[in-house]
Amino acid sequence: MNAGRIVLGGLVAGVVMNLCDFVVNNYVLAREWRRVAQSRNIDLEVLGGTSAFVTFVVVDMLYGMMIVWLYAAIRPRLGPGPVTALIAGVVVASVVALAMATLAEVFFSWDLYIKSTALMLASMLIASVAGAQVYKEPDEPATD
Amino acid sequence: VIAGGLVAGLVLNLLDVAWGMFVMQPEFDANAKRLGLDPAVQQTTAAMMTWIVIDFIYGILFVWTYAAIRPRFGPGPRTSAVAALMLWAAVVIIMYGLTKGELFTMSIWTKMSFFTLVAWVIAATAGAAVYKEG
Repeated sequence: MNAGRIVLGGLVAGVVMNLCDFVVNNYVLAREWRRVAQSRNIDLEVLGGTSAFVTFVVVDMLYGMMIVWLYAAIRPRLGPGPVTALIAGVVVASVVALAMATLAEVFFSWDLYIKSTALMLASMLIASVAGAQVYKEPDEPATD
Repeated sequence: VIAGGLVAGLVLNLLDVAWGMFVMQPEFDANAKRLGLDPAVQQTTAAMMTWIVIDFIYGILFVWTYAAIRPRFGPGPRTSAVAALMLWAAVVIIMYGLTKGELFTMSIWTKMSFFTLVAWVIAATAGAAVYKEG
């Protein structure tokens, strides 16, 4: 596998996810997340603070690299291209969605879970195609 | 993939019950109290069923990932551990993010990360042992 391209593709995917997350969390689901925080005694200052912001930016970058790593790992089985990239995105999104499902009903409603999961899936799918576009095998000619 | 996934899911469910009920229960209850949650909600049949089904889906994902990366890494327990590690990292990362959002304490996150790492590698290895190419 081409480690340099995994990092580069991962950063591209991470930027895409960060942009999607910014729109989703600050505009689309902002009011609902605020309500959850208030009902769970979570300090909104902490949730909207620099430390949390930096954490979520880094989290998205790591997910980007993970998706591109998986894309590179499954390429010999499924072939290169956007379909394989989408499959890698679906696998990573499914794992995260399942982890979040264990918190639904307890920490937040199933309604909010479904909305946030659907938006996360969309964001990861777009990111996976963007990130995979950058990935090349070491012996593959660069076309970008 | 399905047969191996069910084996992995079964192993995961058994390990989850042992860990969640016997080791982590006091800390989970304290966390629920801190967040103003009713611990009884987490112990309903519906909540238990959700956990059981999720573990079986994780099992299938372990074995699917193992099968998908086999041509790259070769068959065997090392590859199943790689598959488990990759999926484990995805969960640990989001849980760390939630720790920053104060949904969990750092202590819970650290213990859960360690437990899931061990449990997922064991479950993926059990599931992968069942998997055979068609």
